[in-house]
Amino acid sequence: MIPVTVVQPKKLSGVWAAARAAKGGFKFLAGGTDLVINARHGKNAHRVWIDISGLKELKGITEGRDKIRIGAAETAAAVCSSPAVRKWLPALAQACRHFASPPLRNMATLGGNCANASPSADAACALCAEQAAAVISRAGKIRRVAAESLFLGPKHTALSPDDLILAFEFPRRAHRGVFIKLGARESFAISKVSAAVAAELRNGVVCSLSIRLGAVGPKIVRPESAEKLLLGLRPGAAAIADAARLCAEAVSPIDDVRSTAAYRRDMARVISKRALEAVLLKTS
Amino acid sequence: MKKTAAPMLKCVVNGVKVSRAIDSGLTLSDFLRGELHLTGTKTGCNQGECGACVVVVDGKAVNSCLYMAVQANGKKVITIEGLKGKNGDPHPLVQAFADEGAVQCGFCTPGMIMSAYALLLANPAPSRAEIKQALSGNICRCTGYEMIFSAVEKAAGLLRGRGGK
Ligand SMILES: Cc1cc2nc3c(=O)[nH]c(=O)nc-3n(C[C@@H](O)[C@@H](O)[C@H](O)COP(=O)(O)OP(=O)(O)OC[C@H]3O[C@@H](n4cnc5c(N)ncnc54)[C@H](O)[C@@H]3O)c2cc1C
Ligand code: FES
Ligand code: FES
Repeated sequence: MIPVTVVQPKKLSGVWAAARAAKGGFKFLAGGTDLVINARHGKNAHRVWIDISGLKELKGITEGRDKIRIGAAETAAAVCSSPAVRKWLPALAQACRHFASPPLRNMATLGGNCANASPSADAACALCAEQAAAVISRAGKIRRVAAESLFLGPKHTALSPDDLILAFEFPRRAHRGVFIKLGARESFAISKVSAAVAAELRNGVVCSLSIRLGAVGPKIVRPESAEKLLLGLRPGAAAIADAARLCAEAVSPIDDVRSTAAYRRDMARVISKRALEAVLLKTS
Repeated sequence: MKKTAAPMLKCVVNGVKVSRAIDSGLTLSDFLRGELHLTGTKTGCNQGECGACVVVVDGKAVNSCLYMAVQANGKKVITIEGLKGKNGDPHPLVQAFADEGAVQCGFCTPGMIMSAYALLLANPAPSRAEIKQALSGNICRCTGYEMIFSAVEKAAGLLRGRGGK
């Protein structure tokens, strides 16, 4: 048993009341796949968890005229099986498909993946490449920020304890995207290196490009020099190989249980190259 | 903080309505095993890695070691004890696991079967690759997996033969 009291507000307004009542501080509970494990490891100073997993305000995947909206409590499984996500957010769909294991995908939410802010968080990496805005509410006051600006360092975000992510919003734009990850095995492995790429091409010319690399720095890495190199080009294999080298230069990986810094840096080049090739060289 | 009155958990477990006051710090695996004495559901790692604790909630496989029991409020939970065949026979998945030699020590078996059960609810005719993918969150230290995959294939065939029941 976990030494915590879980409260379950029925509506969003109830969340703020529960937050005010929790004098010793609280945590939001979504899928619990990080929170419950942390609590088991004694990393839970909070005696109250506010369960937000069932709130309808945090649910739903909707395709508007110029925006796609995904509720923050939607699970990885729901995201990767959504036709709207597959159509408009290909890198995110792939990241959620290769995420953890099937039962964990039924629990783990996008909001939790971001708020936990692991540098190896797959969905968070793809959200950045897909230009997500996070819709955040604090005591009912709503603001929108670039999801990327939330990440400050390993497990460290710009969110205050009472900031609740309601949803992520994305520009509705036809583009190509991929997410590739390298783990210890094909399924059910946390990334040693991951790459998310989203790009728009016009007549073969790259007119927008975002590259994000996961698990190779204190936060998700944006290799801007590689993006700049390819923008405006009709890229071939040589330009992509150059850009992939710039990606490897942009990372600052560490040695840890999953891999070594040297291997990660080299694989950042290989995985970036594969991702860029898949997006930029595919014909259609 | 002082504890307020224990919350009520109202859900349906294996077809039976459950309604009781519980400590909200219980995980679903704690609740099933400790309170309902449904000890078929195993806990191995208690951290989402092994899949021994997989149960099916509203048609979807979840790791009950990380799922807070109160989150099952209003939902339908199925555990290994809830799988029954016709006329008191074992459920085709259970029978196929036995027939194919997919059980050695048996510790992973309930979780494997529940993951397979969720797969067959969504996809009655899975390919071998889809079976492997669906069971990728379940670890077995004994069998080498091949017999498990064969058992799921066999059960899928049996269930299709009798209209999914
Ligand atoms: C065995 C295992 C394998 C895994 N493999 C992967 C993997 O391959 N790739 C990967 O990316 N991740 C992986 N994960 C981690 C992944 O499951 C989590 O990061 C998950 O996405 C967190 O979401 P949750 O809903 O479970 O969050 P919770 O555990 O409920 O919450 C996590 C944190 O986020 C906060 N939070 C949750 N929702 C919100 C919100 N809407 N607004 C503000 N704060 C919020 C909580 O307060 C808490 O601090 C793995 C986990 C396990 C246990
Ligand atoms: S006990 Fe839940 S996954 Fe191992
Ligand atoms: S039969 Fe022993 S762990 Fe699978």
